Amino acid sequence: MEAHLRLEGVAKVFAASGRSAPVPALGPLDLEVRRGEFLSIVGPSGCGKSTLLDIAAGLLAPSAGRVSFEGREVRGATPPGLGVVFQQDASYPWLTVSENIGFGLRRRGLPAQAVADRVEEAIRLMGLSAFARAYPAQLSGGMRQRVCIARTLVTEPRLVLLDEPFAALDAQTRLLMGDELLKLWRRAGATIVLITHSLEEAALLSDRVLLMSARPGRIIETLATGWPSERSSDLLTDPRFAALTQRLWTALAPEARRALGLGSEAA
Amino acid sequence: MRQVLVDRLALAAVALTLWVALELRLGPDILPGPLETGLRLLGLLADPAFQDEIASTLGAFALAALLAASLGLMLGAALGTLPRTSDLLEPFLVGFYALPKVTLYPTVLLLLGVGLDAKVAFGALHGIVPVALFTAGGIRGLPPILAKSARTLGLARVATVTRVLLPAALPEILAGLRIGLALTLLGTLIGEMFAARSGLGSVLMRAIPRLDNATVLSVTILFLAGALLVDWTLERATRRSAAGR
Ligand SMILES: Nc1ncnc2c1ncn2[C@@H]1O[C@H](COP(=O)(O)OP(=O)(O)O)[C@@H](O)[C@H]1O
Ligand SMILES: [Mg+2]
Repeated sequence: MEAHLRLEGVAKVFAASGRSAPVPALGPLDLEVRRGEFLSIVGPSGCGKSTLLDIAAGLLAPSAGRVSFEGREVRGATPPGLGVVFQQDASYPWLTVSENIGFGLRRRGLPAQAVADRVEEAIRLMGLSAFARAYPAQLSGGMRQRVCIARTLVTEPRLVLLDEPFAALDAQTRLLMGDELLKLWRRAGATIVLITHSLEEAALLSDRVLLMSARPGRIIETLATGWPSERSSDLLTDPRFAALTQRLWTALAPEARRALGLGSEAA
Repeated sequence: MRQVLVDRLALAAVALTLWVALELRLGPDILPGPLETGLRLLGLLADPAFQDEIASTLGAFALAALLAASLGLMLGAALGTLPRTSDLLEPFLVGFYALPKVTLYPTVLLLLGVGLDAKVAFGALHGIVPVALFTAGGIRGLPPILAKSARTLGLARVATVTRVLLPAALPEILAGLRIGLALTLLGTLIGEMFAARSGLGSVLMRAIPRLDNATVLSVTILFLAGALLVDWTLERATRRSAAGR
């Protein structure tokens, strides 16, 4: 079967600016995302995860290699059908929660009633019902991130790239949002690529986990979790979850040390 | 709110006292007092000919403000989104901003002739640059994530500017309009003083050689009121636009 998203020989070197030398931020790496899978990408901070997402979404040109989505080359623009949730807060402060969530939908020429219905459903799903008319400034960071997730998901993308979407949430909300994401994934049948620095999150949610090396990030290992698609945070107590997290950490620990500038023998 | 009102009344009382003191020192021929000026102002406001002059100035200012705001916004949006253009043009704009625009008036007259167009153009000339510079600065100061997320939501370049960047920079744009439109009003008045046949500026120029100082002061007060109204309106709009953020 053809890959839903494919990166071939992709690398990024940020050009030198002023006195700083060029920064090799990513790759070269190859990556194949299968249609309908839930894939996580885990790597130490600064290894190029966000850069990878920008390139995959057509927001940043790679220094080398090519990206294709559904068989077509991605170049200079985000293709329709591909949705992105960013690491930073991208809510629009001059719009209310429901206007924010409907923003992308309204650009698509959908009838107003259809937009309103879908927005309302997304607001309910994200637990934002009491805040539909509030402005982002009145919300917590985690709630703003939920607005951004909803704004992307209401457009019903066939592939969603999420860049550490739960980083601003507390631990319990993280688990609940993870469960919601799993439900959405099963219901919509979309492909999900979740970038995270949390091993537990990756182990719990994914079909496959890709591990990245320290900067410039490459794929150092691919692990299949073997979970059934009907899964949830109940797996936290499953012994297989502990074993999986352990395996991920064993592979990642040397890279995390390298990213921090610690020696490989450091305890 | 009440405190502000009390402060303003106190300020008005101090100004009136100073005015009367100056009148007593200089004599009413040189500086007519508040009472004489007030009566003259009422008389003028009741005079249909004077009403026409006000209408002429208001019409010219409205047009000039519209021009300054729309051209300033477009220029500012271009400068804010095209770094190379702005590196090239902004030094010239800042220079132009600092230049006393009166030096350009002969050229404007030559191009447009004496009349409505010249004073409108002259008024607009005063306002465009501050509106453009504030708009450009506001857009440049926005977090890049706004434009980036707009692109992933399917907005093309122009739509990104009009639907995301301009609304996001609205508080700065309004601050630019506040300065720009005050200068536009000033420019319109100067335009009328130098070469127009109608409007409050030309009333002023006719009153000065007649030593009709009560009229001069009346027109000055009207202008001050107009400038304060423009400022107050935009200040309120700025505060409202920033309220939700
Ligand atoms: N625009 C840029 N110019 C120069 N260096 C950059 C730029 N963006 C990111 N980098 C560098 O590239 C590396 C990878 O960044 P990023 O992709 O944000 O990492 P991650 O998301 O994994 O934390 C970092 O060292 C970062 O400092
Ligand atoms: Mg990142």
